[in-house]
Amino acid sequence: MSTMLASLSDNFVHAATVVVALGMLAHAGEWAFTRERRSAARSAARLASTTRQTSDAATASAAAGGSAAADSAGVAVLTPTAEVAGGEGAGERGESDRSDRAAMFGRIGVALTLLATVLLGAGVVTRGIAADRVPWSNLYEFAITGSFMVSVAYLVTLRRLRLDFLGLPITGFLLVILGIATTVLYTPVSGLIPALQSYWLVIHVSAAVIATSVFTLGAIASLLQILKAREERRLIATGASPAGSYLARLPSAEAIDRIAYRLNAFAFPVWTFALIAGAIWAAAAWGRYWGWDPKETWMFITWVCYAAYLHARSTAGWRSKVSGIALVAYGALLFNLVGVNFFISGLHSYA
Amino acid sequence: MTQTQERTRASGAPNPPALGPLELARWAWRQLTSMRTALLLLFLLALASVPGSIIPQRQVNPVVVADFIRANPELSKWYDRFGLFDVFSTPWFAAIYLLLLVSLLGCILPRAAQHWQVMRARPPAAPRHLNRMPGHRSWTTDASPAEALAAAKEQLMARRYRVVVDQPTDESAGGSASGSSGGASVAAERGYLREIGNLLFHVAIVVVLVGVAIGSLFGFRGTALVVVGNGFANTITQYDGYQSGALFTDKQLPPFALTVKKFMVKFETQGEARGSAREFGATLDVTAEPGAPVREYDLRVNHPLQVDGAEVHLIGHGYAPRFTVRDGNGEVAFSGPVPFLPQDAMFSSTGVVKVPDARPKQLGFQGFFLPTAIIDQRRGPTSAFPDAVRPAVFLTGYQGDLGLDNGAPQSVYRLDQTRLTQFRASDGQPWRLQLTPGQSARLPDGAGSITFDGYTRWVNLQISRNPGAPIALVGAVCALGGLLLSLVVRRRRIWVRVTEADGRTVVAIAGLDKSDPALAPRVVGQAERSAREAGAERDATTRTGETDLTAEIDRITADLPGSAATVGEEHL
Repeated sequence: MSTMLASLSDNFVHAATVVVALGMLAHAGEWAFTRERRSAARSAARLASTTRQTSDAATASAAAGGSAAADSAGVAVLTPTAEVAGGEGAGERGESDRSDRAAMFGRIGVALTLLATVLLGAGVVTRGIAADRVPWSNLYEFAITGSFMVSVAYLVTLRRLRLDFLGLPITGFLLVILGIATTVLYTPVSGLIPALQSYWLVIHVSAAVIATSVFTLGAIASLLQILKAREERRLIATGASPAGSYLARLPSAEAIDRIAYRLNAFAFPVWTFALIAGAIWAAAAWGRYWGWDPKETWMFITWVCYAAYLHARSTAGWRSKVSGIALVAYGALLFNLVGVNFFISGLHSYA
Repeated sequence: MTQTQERTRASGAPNPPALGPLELARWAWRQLTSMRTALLLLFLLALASVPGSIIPQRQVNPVVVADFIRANPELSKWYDRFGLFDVFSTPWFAAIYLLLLVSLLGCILPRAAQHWQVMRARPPAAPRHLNRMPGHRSWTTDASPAEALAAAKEQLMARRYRVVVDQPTDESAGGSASGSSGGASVAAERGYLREIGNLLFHVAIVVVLVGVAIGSLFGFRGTALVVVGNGFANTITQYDGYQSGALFTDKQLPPFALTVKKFMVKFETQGEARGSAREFGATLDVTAEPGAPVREYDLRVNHPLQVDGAEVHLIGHGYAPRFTVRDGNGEVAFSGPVPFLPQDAMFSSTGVVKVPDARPKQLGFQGFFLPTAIIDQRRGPTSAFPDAVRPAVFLTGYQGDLGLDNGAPQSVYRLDQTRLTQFRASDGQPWRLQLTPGQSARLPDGAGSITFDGYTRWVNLQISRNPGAPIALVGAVCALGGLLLSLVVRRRRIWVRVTEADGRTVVAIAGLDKSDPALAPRVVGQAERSAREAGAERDATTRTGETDLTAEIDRITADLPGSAATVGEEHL
């Protein structure tokens, strides 16, 4: 029974990996269609600018793009930010065709992500039933449960925070993590060492998984924010019109910063809670609530770095550096998850 | 604070005037309590913790540190000089967190005083031009100004705003024709808990540090190895390792005693995790103080014993093979269990047997206990499984003077071989012996005999008291609560102004979100304007703080008289 469930769990995880890969392809397709449309728009704008002042053309084309967006109502559902600089008159029908197609690919991408999440959830649950305990006691289980939480957090906040621009990086990230999990980290189902046999395993690790997942979304947003801010500075410096790149499709750097902040500010108290719960558990299992074990040390470093992020965000002169700080903090978190497990031995060395 | 700093720097730049000690102190204080310094100290704290996780720490594992020093003597000298084996108790690490603490207090205390003033003060009166605020609505209604004003007051109070009504003074009443000022207004503010949460969080961090300090001053911690069947009385002489805070004296050790009656362990027998412990626990008889009734306790990992203000944790276990040694005179010179220390996950254990009572010469033995003995082609005798499936001991023997009589303390796990001679077999090789339970062997030269009677298990107990832990826990929980308040609560101001124009009542409402400095109203900069032109159309809905504020204003507006038809239409 339990071995059957365990292999069922493996099959679910493999299926989820394949579906995530398809989802990533769909999001890549979405991006490709937007780009084609954009390069067409750019040549149209270039034509127009031969007769007019460039700035006039830019304003006019922006307005035209806006109305084009309103016409193709389907776009508004999933890619409300996609409509920026449309073309002027020429080829408008072809463009709305393409943007329809881009939106369709975007919807397919989200649908596949949803399917992958369901499959992954089934994999996580069957794994837990097979092992007769919560499925996060080694790195493989942490990876599949964490990926599941990342995609759940993404799907839940998709509408509210308008995260649709994260589709491609999120599916890519999930694919990499699931790929590593199923090949490098895979561990067959087994029991628990006595130190882990505690209800704190449920409390401490689930809080850590949730915080890690949301921090992951925040880190992806922070990375995009840095790229977007650089792009914006470049455009201002050169006075060029936006290139038809992935970056041009993103919301403004400021908006991404706000999204990253909301994600990180949500995850930080959860992380703090995980830290406190871990200390209480350590007091019960090892007889001290804090002992500077490498895992504890890096959890503390991560906490301090995210605290610095939150402070820097309300400090004059530091706001341009916050995304960098968030990435440093996320780096510490990743090192704690991977580096400490593989390179440093300590009391947490069972994963 | 930043402003004053800039001023100091600017005025001092061209020809710095001599600073008196007082000015210097004030300048230093301002530097220390600035957010920039606090941020740098936070990063320093994170950075300073890194070596503590990479270089072995005495506090965490002294054995690993000793091995490291043996392997890298030169490097270790330098590490020791900078305290890198004790990072978390070095002066430089303490300097960072103490500076951070002072910086935090220097920032928090003035802010607390300031917030106290704000909470006692009334919400600021409506600004002259409400239409310059980020969220703004305006409409006309047939209701009288007094009715509109009363409705606004009621709505805001229902939403738990603190509300003040300002009647027009003569001066402002005649004022502007645009209707942006003049008339009675309502000023309302909400979300004072945000700053309180923020202050609570920072104060609670200090409380956590106080708890840590109290724990290390008034606490103690020791470990004791107890063979199953034996007892432990809580006095300092019974500890193998013991450390206590500066303000804790040994007399304060609670006078409990315990006996380890049984020990049980189960190991995984299959799969990749084969040999991992799955379950272990000891049954204790505990006496809280001399003369008190005995109670039984089931001691397991994650299930510590609380007794008389101290905690007893089960932190390890191992094997104690039992021997009977007869000396050259045929007398029983030793009989009993000897704890051997596990060296690997399969419990290959090493230890020594000292027989000071043997005559004519003292005897000593050194060797392995292997719970599941196998002979590995490369490594020799080793254990294949942690449970005692096929136990065996492998020993070599010595005779002479064990060196116990000169008073110098000696490890019970090591033989001082300076005045011992090793037994030799007839071929001149060191004499070696392999015994299974029940087997005996004669020693060379008629020195006596040794019998391996079997094995007992031992447990390693940690006994500790940390009076600071509850304080640290309360601090941590308060910090979490404060953090949630400071992140969830939004601080908002709403103003409603009612004026009369052409016989109708004009109602204007505006608001301001003070939660996020990034949401403060400001002139749209060149950068942003260009960014917007560059295709990053700023979707209003992504400015979530503003949206929330707008939504709130819309909700309030909907409940005010005359607004239903015009919400969102008559923007000024």
